[in-house]
Amino acid sequence: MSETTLLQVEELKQYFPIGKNRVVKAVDGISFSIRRGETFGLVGESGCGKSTTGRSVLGITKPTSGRILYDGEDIASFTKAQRMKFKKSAQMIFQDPYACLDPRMTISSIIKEGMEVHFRYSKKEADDRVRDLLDKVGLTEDYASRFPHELSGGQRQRIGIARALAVEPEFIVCDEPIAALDVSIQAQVVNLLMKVQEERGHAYLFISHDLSMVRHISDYIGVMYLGSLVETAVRDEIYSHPLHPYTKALFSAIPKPDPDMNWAKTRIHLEGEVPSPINTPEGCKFCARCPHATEQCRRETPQLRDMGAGHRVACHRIEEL
Amino acid sequence: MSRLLEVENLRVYFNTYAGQVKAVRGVSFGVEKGETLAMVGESGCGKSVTAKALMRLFERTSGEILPESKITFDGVDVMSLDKKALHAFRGTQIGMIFQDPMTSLDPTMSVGKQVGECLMIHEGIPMKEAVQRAVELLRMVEIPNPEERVKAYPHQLSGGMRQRIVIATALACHPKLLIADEPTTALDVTIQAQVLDLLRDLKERLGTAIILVTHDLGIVADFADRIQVMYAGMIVEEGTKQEIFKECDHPYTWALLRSIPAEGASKKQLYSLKGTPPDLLLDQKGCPFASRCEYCMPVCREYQPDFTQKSGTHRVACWLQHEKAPRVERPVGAGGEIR
Repeated sequence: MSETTLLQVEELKQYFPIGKNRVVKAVDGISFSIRRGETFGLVGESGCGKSTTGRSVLGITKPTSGRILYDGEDIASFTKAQRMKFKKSAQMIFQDPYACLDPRMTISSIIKEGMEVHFRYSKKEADDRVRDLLDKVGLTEDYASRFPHELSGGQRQRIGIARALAVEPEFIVCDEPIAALDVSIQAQVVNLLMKVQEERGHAYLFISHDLSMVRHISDYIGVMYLGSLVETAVRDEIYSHPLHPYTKALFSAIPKPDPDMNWAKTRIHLEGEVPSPINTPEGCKFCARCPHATEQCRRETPQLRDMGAGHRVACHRIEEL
Repeated sequence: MSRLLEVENLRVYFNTYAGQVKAVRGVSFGVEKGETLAMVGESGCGKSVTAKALMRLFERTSGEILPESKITFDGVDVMSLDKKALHAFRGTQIGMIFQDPMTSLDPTMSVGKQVGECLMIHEGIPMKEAVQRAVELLRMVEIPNPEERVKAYPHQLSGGMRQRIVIATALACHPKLLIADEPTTALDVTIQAQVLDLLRDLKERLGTAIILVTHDLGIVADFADRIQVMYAGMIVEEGTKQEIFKECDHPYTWALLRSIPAEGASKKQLYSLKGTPPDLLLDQKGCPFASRCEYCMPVCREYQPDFTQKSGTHRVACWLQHEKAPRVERPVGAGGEIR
């Protein structure tokens, strides 16, 4: 483990039992690491376990098995003081800017809440901080006394970002931060996220299904399918040379804003839908929809293998394809 | 007239406690037989309201279509239809696909009955026969094992399947026009691609005209014949797909195209429009886009621009088209060109 690694996830499994002998394998043995100041984009279709991963790495849910190392220490074995420090250091920005802000609190008390726990500010210092933070996220100080319902979706998401920044974190999990916003507002929020990262140098785990935005913001990208990480690589590498059949199909399914391109002809047609994550069988998770699946794929679970330059793929047939 | 649909000066206002929300402010457009028209714009720009107004779906809400609005569908004046005729019109002439397949299906009704329901009502056939027809419709929308699936309930189906059911329901009475209001927004990309393929295939086989309401320019580039860009309840630019993507002239269309992240140009600041759309409660003086426009001139704040006809199919409402306006270069998009 190198010194710059901030978060290391090792064989994380997160199962949820649902009644007798039935288990939802939301996350089924994934490993990745995030370096300081880096953005790791986690993409995949709904139900593939990206959000569950985000919650597990923050210790919101206790993993079924596997280890999560933050700054070299296992978050499961934290003492109370360490846990407090971890909570200050790792923050989250949520998907729905309408649900994640308490409607009965003013903007200033929402932003102050975390500060009051972690810092000993005087009232004046706290008010100054709120003003700075509002300014940083592009809002005026008038907003401090308002309530969430007075704000638009994009403004609320800015408050969510200000709240996360208030405790000066090193690591922020962004769980679909732009999914609920309009196109022109999405660009504003992504720009803001990139700007504050440049200033403060924190790391992001950026969870999204918007593949073009993920490409824009991330340094490193992981593609998930049904609880497994099927491919991870540096951004440009994965977009220019996707290796896993699922990654290829997923990327080709993005509609391109080019009126001359015959997208319907060029894209890879993927049959069927994502199977249920309940009691998934052994073998490659993708084999039911994969055009190249063999007997081996149905029997053995493929492991991530390094194909050079940090490009890791979990596929048995990668050499032949 | 070969036009299937002709809309003139459509105005839709909503009466709320805060005042009158002027959601659609004088929109005129047409749809030819068998063509696909895309309406694009941000949320609240009136694209969904325009689409719903075509069927007069606001009768029992606070919404009101102003009497000066004219909607002509296949020679029929929609605004003058009485209750009974309107009922028949909605069922047989226009089909509608909504954004969220979970809320547009009845959770207490089996899929077969839901698809067959409008056949029973509008074609007067008995339920047994209607369910038989439903099986055929499910086969048409490529649902595997349709004989079994007609007995299923919506919660037993996945999002993509549900949207196929909604499409089957919309097409049951062979409508001449299909309104698809964000049909794939709630779906994952690979499922979205499947549903779009299905819609394309059905359009070609049945010759149905489609109004596609969306904010995804990628889908529009792939799917539409003509594009209509809306902003704050008005059409700001209209043209064929090529004209909008390559020769567009409205600053708002430029901004929409520029805000698409370019391939390869990563970690740079994205182009983003400043500010937010205008409050639809207020009356607008001048161009609706003036407050966010980089090229705003004094005249833009005072008078609303008329349409300038750029070609037979391309028209744009912007003062920059005026002969006395300064000449403005079309800006290049994030990818180095307008893509």
